[in-house]
Parts: sequence; C-alpha cells; structure tokens
Amino acid sequence: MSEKELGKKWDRCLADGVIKLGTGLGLGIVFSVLFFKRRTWPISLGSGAGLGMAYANCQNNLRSHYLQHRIEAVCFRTASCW
Amino acid sequence: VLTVSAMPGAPQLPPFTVFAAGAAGGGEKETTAPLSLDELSLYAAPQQNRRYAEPEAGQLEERVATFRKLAEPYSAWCSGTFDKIKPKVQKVVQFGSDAYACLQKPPKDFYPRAGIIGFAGMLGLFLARGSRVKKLLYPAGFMAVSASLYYPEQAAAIAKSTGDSVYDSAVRSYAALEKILKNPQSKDANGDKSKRNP
Repeated sequence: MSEKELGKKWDRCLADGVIKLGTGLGLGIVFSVLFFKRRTWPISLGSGAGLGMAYANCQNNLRSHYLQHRIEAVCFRTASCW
Repeated sequence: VLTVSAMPGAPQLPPFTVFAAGAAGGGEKETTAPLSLDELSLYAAPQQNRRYAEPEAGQLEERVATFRKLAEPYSAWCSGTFDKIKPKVQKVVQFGSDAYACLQKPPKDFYPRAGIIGFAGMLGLFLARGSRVKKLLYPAGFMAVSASLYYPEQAAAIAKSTGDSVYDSAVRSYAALEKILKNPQSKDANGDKSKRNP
C-alpha cells in the first residue's frame, strides 16, 4: 500500500470516527434526557457504540487492501474465479 | 446484456433480454454484443470491465487530512523514538523472563548461597550505622566479597572487565585533559608572536 493511499484511508477512518462518535454521543444525550432521567450510562453507551463501529469500519478498511490482493493472487493461481 | 433462449425440454418461453447493471463512474457505455446462453462458458466468468470509483473526500476529511499533515513531523519523531526504545524494553523483558526461568529451576545450592550473601549484606548494613556513605559501601562490599568466595570465576571475569573499562576511561580523560591544557598554551604563543610582528 502506498503512503498516499494509507494516508487517505486514515483520513477516512478518522473522519468516520468523528462522525460516529458525535452521532452516538448525541443520541445518548437525547435518550438520557428524554427517557433515563439524565443519567450518564446512555451517553457512555452511545459514544462507546459509535467509537466501536468506527474502529470496526477502520479495521476492515485497512485490511481490505491485503484481502483484495490475496483474492487476486488465489484467482491467478487457480485461473478460475467467479 | 444477455438474451436468454428456451432450453430444450424446458417449458416453452419466448426469448427475453436481461440487462446487466451499468458500470460505476457513469458515462461509460459498454459496446459489447449481447451473448446467448450457449456462448457462456461453464468454467470461467465473463470478463467484467467495471472500475471501482472512490467517493470524493468531504470537508471533514479534508480538514482531518490537513491536521494529519501538520502532525506528521511529531508522529514521525514519536515513531522514531519508539523504534529506539523498543529493543531496550524487549531486552529488559527478556532478562526478566530469563531470570524467572532460572529461579524456577535454580542450580545446585543456589538458595543457601543467596541466603549467606544476603546475610553478609545485612551485616554490612548493621555495621554501617551513623553514615550514609558507609551504608552504601559496607553492604555492597560485604556482598561482593561473599559472592566472589562462592563464584570466583565470574568474580574474576567481572573484575577484569571493570578494570579494563576503568583503565580505558582513565586514559581517555587523561588525553582530553592534556589536549585542553596544551591548547591554551598554543593560543598564548600565537598571541605573543602577533604582538611582536605588527
């Protein structure tokens, strides 16, 4: 993977992380205020879930480069791929 | 685009055309001729001329890219420092695990000897009352003497290597001191010559 490509992936990861964390935090605040009498745990749950989803997306994004090349290598060797 | 005709033995159906999805990126028209079912190979998939078009970077991504580029020198310094520290930390961890393995299967009479060496250290600490310097020197000295009695070969090797390193550092410091002392004398001599010859 070239440095430029890796940099773009990291930019996408961090931007995605900011969006998901912000969304989780916002939803957590809303639910906490409306349904759970202003307690802290919905906020923690929402932000944690958002951060976890962003981490999983980032992990898949960074691994997808190597998986794609592995699939191409297997197809090249077997000469039959759907 | 595929034209599916009726298979022999299948219920009679009029031939119909199936359209495949257009290529991503838009604007590219595929000019391949439609294939009939008999022309398709059973052993390989038809070549696909699709290209993956990455989504354009939004404002947030561009700002993140700017911050990342600003922080690049610091992150490079951090990774360089980590690469320097990592082997040292790994050495320490390896030393700890080797020591643990050694203590699990100690050599013969290891613990009694360690007890006597420790007792010698405690004796030195007891005798060194009233002075901080004595509290450092006496226990270390007593432990070194008792350890050298039990492990004479290792003690001789350590003493020899320590002596060599002390001799080397003494020679280097003497050479540095000589150089410092000679340089002011040579500067004074040059200053006198310039005063004599205006």
